[in-house]
Amino acid sequence: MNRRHLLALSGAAAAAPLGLAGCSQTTQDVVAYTSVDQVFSEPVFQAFERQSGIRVRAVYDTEETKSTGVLNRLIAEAQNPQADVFWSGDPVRPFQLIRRNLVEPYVSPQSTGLPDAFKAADGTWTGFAARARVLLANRERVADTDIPQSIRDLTAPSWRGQTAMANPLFGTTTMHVGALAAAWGEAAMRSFLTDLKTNGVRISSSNGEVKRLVVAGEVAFGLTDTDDANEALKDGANVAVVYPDQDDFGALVIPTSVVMLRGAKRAEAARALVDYLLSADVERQMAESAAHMPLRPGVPTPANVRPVSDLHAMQVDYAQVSDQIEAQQDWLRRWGGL
Amino acid sequence: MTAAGGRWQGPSVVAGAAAVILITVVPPLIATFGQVIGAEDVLAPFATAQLWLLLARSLALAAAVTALSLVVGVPLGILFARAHLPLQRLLFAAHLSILFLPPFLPTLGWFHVFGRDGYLGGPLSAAILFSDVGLVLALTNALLPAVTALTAIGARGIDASLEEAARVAGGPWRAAAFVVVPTAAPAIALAGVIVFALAFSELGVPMFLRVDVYPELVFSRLGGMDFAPGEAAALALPLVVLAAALLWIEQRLAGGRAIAALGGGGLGVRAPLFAFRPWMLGVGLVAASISLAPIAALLVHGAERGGLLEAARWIGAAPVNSLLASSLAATFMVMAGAILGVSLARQGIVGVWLDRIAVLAFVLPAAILGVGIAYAWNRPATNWLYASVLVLVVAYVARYSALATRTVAAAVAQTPRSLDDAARTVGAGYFDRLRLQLGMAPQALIGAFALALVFSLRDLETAVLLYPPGGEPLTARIFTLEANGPAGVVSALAALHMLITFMAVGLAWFALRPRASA
Repeated sequence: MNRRHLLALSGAAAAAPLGLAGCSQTTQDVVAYTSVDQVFSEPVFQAFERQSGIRVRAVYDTEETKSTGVLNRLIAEAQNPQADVFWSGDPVRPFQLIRRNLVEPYVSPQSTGLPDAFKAADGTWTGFAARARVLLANRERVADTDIPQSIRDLTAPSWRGQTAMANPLFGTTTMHVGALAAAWGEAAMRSFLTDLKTNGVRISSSNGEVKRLVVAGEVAFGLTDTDDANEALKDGANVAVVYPDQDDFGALVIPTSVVMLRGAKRAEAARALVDYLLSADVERQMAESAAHMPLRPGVPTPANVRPVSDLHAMQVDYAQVSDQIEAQQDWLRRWGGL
Repeated sequence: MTAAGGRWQGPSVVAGAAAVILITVVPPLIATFGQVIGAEDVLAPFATAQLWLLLARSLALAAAVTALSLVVGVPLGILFARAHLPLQRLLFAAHLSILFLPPFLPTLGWFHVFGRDGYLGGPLSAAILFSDVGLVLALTNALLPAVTALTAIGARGIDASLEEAARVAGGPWRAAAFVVVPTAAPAIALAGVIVFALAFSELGVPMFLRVDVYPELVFSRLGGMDFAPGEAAALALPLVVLAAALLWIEQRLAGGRAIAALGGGGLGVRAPLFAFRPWMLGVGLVAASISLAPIAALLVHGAERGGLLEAARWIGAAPVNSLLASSLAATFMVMAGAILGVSLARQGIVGVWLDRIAVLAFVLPAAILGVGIAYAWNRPATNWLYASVLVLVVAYVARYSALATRTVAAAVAQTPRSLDDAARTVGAGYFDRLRLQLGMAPQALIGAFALALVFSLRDLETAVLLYPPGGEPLTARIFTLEANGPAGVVSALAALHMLITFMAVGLAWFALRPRASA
């Protein structure tokens, strides 16, 4: 190592403070963690920045860890909270934070127009813009007359080895399994999952992956979310979207939800962001860009999505679903071979 | 410098370099394994045969990837380093390009080629892709250039007179087999360790191809609903044994090598060992094409669906974040690595022990290290670090410092110790001797910096757990946009990532390249 090398390396190290200066925080910042897809959530944050002048510094989840990646980061950071707001892709993750006393209740004035079933009265969480769990079928592999209508079709021997769902340890599939345990009882849920395994359902890394496998024809149909199904339709894929079990126990509806975090360092900006997220304007944005179903009356529902009011939805208590998710983790890991 | 000052020069500098490693690597390891204490039933999973079978399966898969990479990569590295063929540098750069991406992206490219509805796909190719064989081939494809590159660096550091004598006596093939490869053994062994560790700890590709591996077991305790870092740390305990085993194997293969091989200069300084033959160009073209094929598939797939032009809208500050954190980390790694690498090559106790710690951090699943860094550094007193891009610098140094140190060590190990002893005898100070030893291995610093930079830039699994709010690096942005983002955007950002990496490595080479006056 000669002097020139040392100078080059030391110069690079000395440049650090210059770069870090760009990362310094200002009082007009708010830190938001979100498990809503970045492609949908970032434009919402940008619109908020334009409207409020408050800069949103965001942390996004990857498809593979959704929605537990940022959730677990919030838990790991509990000793010194970094985030002010958590915008969750579902309503059950907030309960993990509520149990750990990491949530600061906040009843937003914007929440008044939202149905009581999708929010907590004490303001610990508030739901809006929803997805549903759907079956996505490849029309080249499944005849119109054979398109499945129930999630129980995943266990039908005629579809053995031809179906897919995401790993139930992660993402909205966790919530779906928890909801089935709450609605059917633990034994029936476990029996259903065992039958799935026996029937050779392909366990993919994410719902997006299920969509990819169905679109590519790797499987005939799979269980995924409406936003993933909508992306397949937008790409022109030859697929059918089925809201399952409409004559039976219904389809699972999953509102996104927002919580304010205890110890938020930028509380005022955090409240402003929560208010904005719960506005009708954001439900409209999420409907247009991400095919999320508006929960607030009066916000138009996109043409390729069924309105919540027309849907036979599973009757679930989200707190109970959250309890079931925690209770089933050990069994689910064994079921998945982990 | 007084005599007393000179006496402390070496220990002071080594202590400074050691501090870089100790501060970045040790706190997260303590925080991680500290979680085991007090956690309940953390050892219960070890009582199940399922766990050991999964571990054995992961070891076997990583061994297969390593073996295949070495069998193909060593001859390829010698070809690129010691043969003369047209477009040599271009083909070599194309071959290396796939190493610049997280392995998941090229695997996604292969899916577009060999998936059931892929460009060349069908049920059979899809079945192979989504299998153990597919996993081994995809990871070999992604990691092979690490072997090629390190073999090439090792082959270029050989004493020209030794190689020439062997060539005259036995011809180029015998010279390659009995002089070049044995002399480059430290670099080749390092490549084997790197490939094995990366193949073993890879998570994204096995999850995508639906192959169960041990790191998924660990990740399920950190990425699932029941956040259980104590259990995850306990499950990582066998990896401590694995790290020790890797070090032992490497030592057996390459350690204490006595061949004195004075570095004779870099690329283009001496005559090629092999004269040009047309088949060599064919091999070079195949090596380059296999690396470029999945990337091209990604780009074509993206272009077909539109969205390439949308990339500018989504890129944000991610390239700046990536470059800032990675170049800083690579700088720290190479500064510490230059000093500790020489110590390691000479079997100095500080170099040897710090290397063992750094190798453990490299072998551990990224999620374990990431959570350890969060526990260690997310405190009010260190918030200035944790909430800034510096946390990525710490993460990269913690995870990849072994690469820089070992690249320097592998190069210095090829140089004769007698010269250092001679310099010490005539009273040369620490810096003079350091300069002498690094000067005899001119590719070492470039190689170390390039490896540290490339691996920091391509890192996803550590960065995604820790990046500061609003400061995501490009790999994290590619992956967070991959969920329902326009396919063209993901492809365009992947291509941009490669371009940035090429430019950064090129700039590093320009700044650190050996010159005649040096």
